[in-house]
This record gives sequence, structure tokens and C-alpha cells, in this order.
Amino acid sequence: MNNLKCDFFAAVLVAVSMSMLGCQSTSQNASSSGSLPKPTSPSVSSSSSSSSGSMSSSSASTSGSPSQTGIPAARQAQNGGASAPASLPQINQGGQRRGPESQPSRREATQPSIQNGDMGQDNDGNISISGVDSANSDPKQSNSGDYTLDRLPGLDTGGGNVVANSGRDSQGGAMTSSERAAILDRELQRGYEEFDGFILGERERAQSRNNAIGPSGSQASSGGGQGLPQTLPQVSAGAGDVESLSRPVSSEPRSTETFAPPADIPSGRDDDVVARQLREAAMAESDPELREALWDEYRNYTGLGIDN
Amino acid sequence: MNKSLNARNQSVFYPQTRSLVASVSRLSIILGLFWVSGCATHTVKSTSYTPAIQAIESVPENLLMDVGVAVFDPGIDELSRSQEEIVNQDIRIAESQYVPFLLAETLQRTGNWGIVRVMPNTSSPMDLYLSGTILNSDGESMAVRVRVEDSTGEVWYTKEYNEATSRFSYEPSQKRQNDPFQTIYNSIANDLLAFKEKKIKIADVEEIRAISELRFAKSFIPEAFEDYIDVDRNGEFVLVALPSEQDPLLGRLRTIRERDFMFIDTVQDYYDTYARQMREPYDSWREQSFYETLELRELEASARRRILAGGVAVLGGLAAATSGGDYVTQTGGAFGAGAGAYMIKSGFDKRAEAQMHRESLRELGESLENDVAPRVIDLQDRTITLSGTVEEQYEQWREILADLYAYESGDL
Repeated sequence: MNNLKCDFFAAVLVAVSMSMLGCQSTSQNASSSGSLPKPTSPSVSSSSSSSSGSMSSSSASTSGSPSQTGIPAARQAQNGGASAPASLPQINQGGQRRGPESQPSRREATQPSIQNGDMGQDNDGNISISGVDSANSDPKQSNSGDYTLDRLPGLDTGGGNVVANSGRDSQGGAMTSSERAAILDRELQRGYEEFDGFILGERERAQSRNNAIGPSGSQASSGGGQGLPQTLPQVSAGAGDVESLSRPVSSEPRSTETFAPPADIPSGRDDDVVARQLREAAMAESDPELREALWDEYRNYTGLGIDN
Repeated sequence: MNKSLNARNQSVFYPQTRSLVASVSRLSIILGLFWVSGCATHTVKSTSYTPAIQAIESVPENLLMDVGVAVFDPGIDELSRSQEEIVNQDIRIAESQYVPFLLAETLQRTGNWGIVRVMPNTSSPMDLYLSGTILNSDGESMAVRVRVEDSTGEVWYTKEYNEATSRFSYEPSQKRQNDPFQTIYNSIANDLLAFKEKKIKIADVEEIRAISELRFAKSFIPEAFEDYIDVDRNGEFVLVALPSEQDPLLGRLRTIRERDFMFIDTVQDYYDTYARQMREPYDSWREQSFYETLELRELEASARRRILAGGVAVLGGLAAATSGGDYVTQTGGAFGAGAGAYMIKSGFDKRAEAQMHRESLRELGESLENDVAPRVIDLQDRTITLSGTVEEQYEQWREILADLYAYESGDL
């Protein structure tokens, strides 16, 4: 009987120890995330904890580095983590770039499930889960720079803190729908600029690769000869066909050669559409005088000329 | 009386039958010999050139249809057993990326269309969408099947193009100017223009362009744009209404679509690089393959003819040797049978020779495969990675736009 009691107490002890160990593991995650609010979702399970744990390492490693790639982790794994072109970085309200994989969707953010939570990094370098229920999260502590309805961007008070939970800014004033729409519009605009800079960088890389191949490119790029179009009356015109073949403007060979920008021209990642077009035109211009004029225009437009 | 008649008849017909057998035997031998002497084939190749046609009337820019050319199906599933022996699958896959690029460039050069691009995926609706399958490509001939569909989902037509090129196309001066099968691309471009001019009215073009824009918009904010287009019972999109030009959401979508075109343009740069890298080794392979394929075809045809003619000669010779009434016929028959046997043997020799050319073609293919396969992987890798990254950005824009729509429509 005593043995039975001993066994029973031992079993209880083991069970309590096990449960304590489990709690410790959870609290470790919570402490690393900077006073993470306890998830209320019943869907939280050991498997979801482990999955979010693995995401945290990925997210921390990407968002902590300024040269993060922003390629989804699954895709990086698929590509063997190599040969991926520069990806589209995203700027949070504090000006920090973070990868798209660490940005939860709006719908995810409203689901109180840690499975949908996404680990981000706040301004202090703390890792936080941004996908938890906003009702249970402290905005000052879960500042991951994410865009969500509950954490509208553009409301930073200078320190890069994103606030505006429950439709109130840091001063506590209520926002109208149009104000919120304006903020979203600005966010969209910023996204365009980021995208333009990214695409421009990628095109520059692609074109420099193209230039490196040399002039023995495909006839597809060089055009010319019999591959040129002609107009319908010229087809039936007989003897005059050959001349007409080389005339159409659209048949001119497309020059893929680009010219490097002058030393004072920055990378262009933050260029808007007009600046990007000016930049592309200048880089593609073979006439040095015209090219320089285009660069001057670019400087004037982007404010480089004024600064200098 | 009857018996004597029959005997006479037999005596009358028997020499005729014998002479008939002898004649057939001689004819067989002669035919067999002629067949052998005519083994050399003469393939006549047309060197006529079909230029790409430009439309007579200049089309306003807002009515120029944008064309997307899909990466082609390499057609590996459609290979015949004999093709399977010599077709290198990796080269086919490389061609399936190369051919649409040349087609897109040809269409673009005609000036009959808006932007013409090789599409990395099907997520960006274009006014016209060309897809295709490579049915044959061995340097000597090329066959593709092309399907044209507009943004409403209506299939314009499906057509097969087959072209055999001549040695002339592989001369250095010609190679510099054109792809050896440029005529196929020009023919596709001309057919597309002819169909559009004949069957598609301006109102159709406007509807097609509106639908492609609305499909793009719907893919971003379905709740805002789903009422503007519908799907009919044929599964084709139909225009229900047009959104206001002042709709701010539409303006944003157009701005995003410009970015989508920028993304597609970037992919085009990838394809351009790929085509430039591939051109030289690919053209070299095609040229060598051209000669090997010609040789192979001639040897196979020659082997087939020799075996057939030899068989006929053997049969004829045996018939003459056994049924010949005189010494000359019997000797001729025996000689014919011997000659037939020799022809059969030479036919098998030709087959063996053809097999060597098949091996040679395989080696050529492997050589090019080593060159182009890494480039194909690189192209696919870069395209998929860029598409994925861009899609991430689109996903964020979708969320922002959904919220904007909710705010502006008063749902929030």
C-alpha cells in the first residue's frame, strides 16, 4: 500500500515536473518576444508552438540583418538558399526593412491563433509575434512594424513606434475613415517606390548580365534582315519590297546596352516612377550629351542638383 | 474430241504461262535493280521567305492589344517512338523557353500589337494569350502547334505550323540575320494579324482590353470588381459594366498594373539574356543536327528501299529459277535471287549506318544539353524567385486595397 502511495506520488511529481517544464518553455518564448500576451486561442498546441518557434529563428535572422533577402523561407529552401536575386525589402514605420515572410496579413492579424502569428522584431531587437489578437496585445510592446488595420502605419511619433490601436493615435485622437484611407494610400505609395527601386535594381542586374554576354546576341534582339515587318501594300508591291523591309521604325534593333550612371548618382532604390523613367532613359542613351542632359534632369527632379 | 481440245488448249496456254512467269521475273529483277540505282534521294527545300506583315492602317495606341506568349509545351508527351530515340528532352525544354521568346520578338517587331511579352506565369491577364507545343525540331524541320486565346477566354484558333529549312539558312550570313526558322514565326504573326483584321471589330478589342484590365483588378480586390464582369455558360468572361474612370480604386489598380508590366519587362530581360546565351550553341547544334538528320533520313529511306527491292528480287529470281523453261531464264532467276539477297544485306548495312547517325545525334544532343541545361535552370530559378517576391508584394497591396475599399465604401 505504501509502495502504491509512493508510486502515485512519484507519478504526480513527474506529471507536475513535466507540466512545469512545459510552462517554462512557453515562458521562454514569451520572454524572448518581449512580454508576449498569452494567446487565448484554443488552437495553441505544442505543434503550433514548435512551428512558431522555427519561424522565429527565420524571422529574426532575416529582419535583424539589413541585407535580408525577403524571399519566403520555403522558396529559399527550394532554391537551396542560393542564387536568389535581391528581393523586395519592406520598410516598417521605424524605417527598418523586413522580409515579406515576417509580415502577417490583415486577416491573420485578426485571428487569435499563434499558428497564424508571425514573428517580427521590434526596434529594440526583441522578437515579437505580430499575429496575435490585438485585443490582447500591448501596442507599445508588440511594435513589429507590421501593417495591419489595428496598427496603421504612418502614425509614428518620430521614434518609429507604430501605434493607433483600436483606431486611436498616440495622442488619443480618433481617426476618421478618410484619415485612415489617406494613411493607407501613403503606405501604398511607399510600396510603389520600394517596388520601383527593387525592379529597377533587378533590371540593372539583368541588363548588366546581358551586356556581359557581348554583342553576339540573338538575332531576336538584333533584328534586321528578312525578319523585319513590312506593310501590306508593300508585300504586293513586288520590286519595292526589299527597301521597304528596312524602313519601319518598329524594326529598328532594340539596343540592350546600358551605360553606368555617374558617380554622384545614388542607387535609385527610392526613386519614384518619373525618376525611374529618367534614370532608365539616361542609362539607355548612347549619345553622351543627351545622356548627360538626362542625368541633369534626373538630378533636378530628385533634388540632387539642389543639394549639391 | 474434248480431250484433244483440252490438250491443245494446255499446249497453247502452257507456253504463255511460262513466258508470263519469265517476264514477271525479269521485270522484278529489273525493277529491283532500278530501285537500287535510284536510292539516292533528292530532297528539294524551298528557300522562299515569308516576311512578317505590318498592318496598313496605324492603330490608335488604346486599341493595340497586348500579347502574352506562354512558355511552350516541350511536347515530350507527343513524341513518337522513333522520335524518342533521338530527341533530347532537356533540349526540348530549352527550346520551349527559346521559341516563345523569338515569337514574342517577331510579334513585337511588326508593330501590330501593344506590348508582347513572354509570360512567366498566367497570373497577369493579357489581351491575347498565345500558347504552343513544339511538335518537332531537329534542325532540318520544325513543327509547332499554336493556340490563340483572348482575355475573355475565347479561343481564336489553333493551328499547326511546319517548316523545313535548307542548307542556305545555316550559312553564316543568313544565321546572323535570322533564325533558320524565322518563317514559322512570321507565319504565326501574319495569321494572327489576318484573323484580327478579319474577325475582330473595334468594339471587340475594346471589350477584350476592358476585360483584361478588370480581370487584373478583380484578382486584387474581388469584392470591388466582381460585378463588372461575369462568366457565361461557355466559361468565357463577359463585360457587364465599366467602372467609372474617376474611381480612385481603378486608378490605384492601373498604377499597380504598370508595376506588373515592369515586372514582366524584367522577366523579359531574363529571357533576352537566356536567348543570347543559348543562340550560339543552339544554332551550332541545329546546323550539325540538320546534316545528321538529313543523312539519317536518307539512310533510313535507302535501307527501307533496298530491303524491299531485295525481297522482290529474291522472290522474282526464285520464281524464275524454279519455273524457267530455259537455261537463260533459270540462270537469270538465280542471279536475280543472289542480287536480291545482296540488296537485302546492303539494306541492313544502311540501317546500321543510320544507327550510327542516330548515336551521333544523341551525342550532339548531350553536348548541347550540358551547355543549355544550367542556363534553363538559372532562368527558371530567377523567374520563379522574382515572381514569388513580386507576389509577396502584391499580397500586401491586396490587403491595403481591401481596407481602402472598405473605408471608401463605408464598410468600416
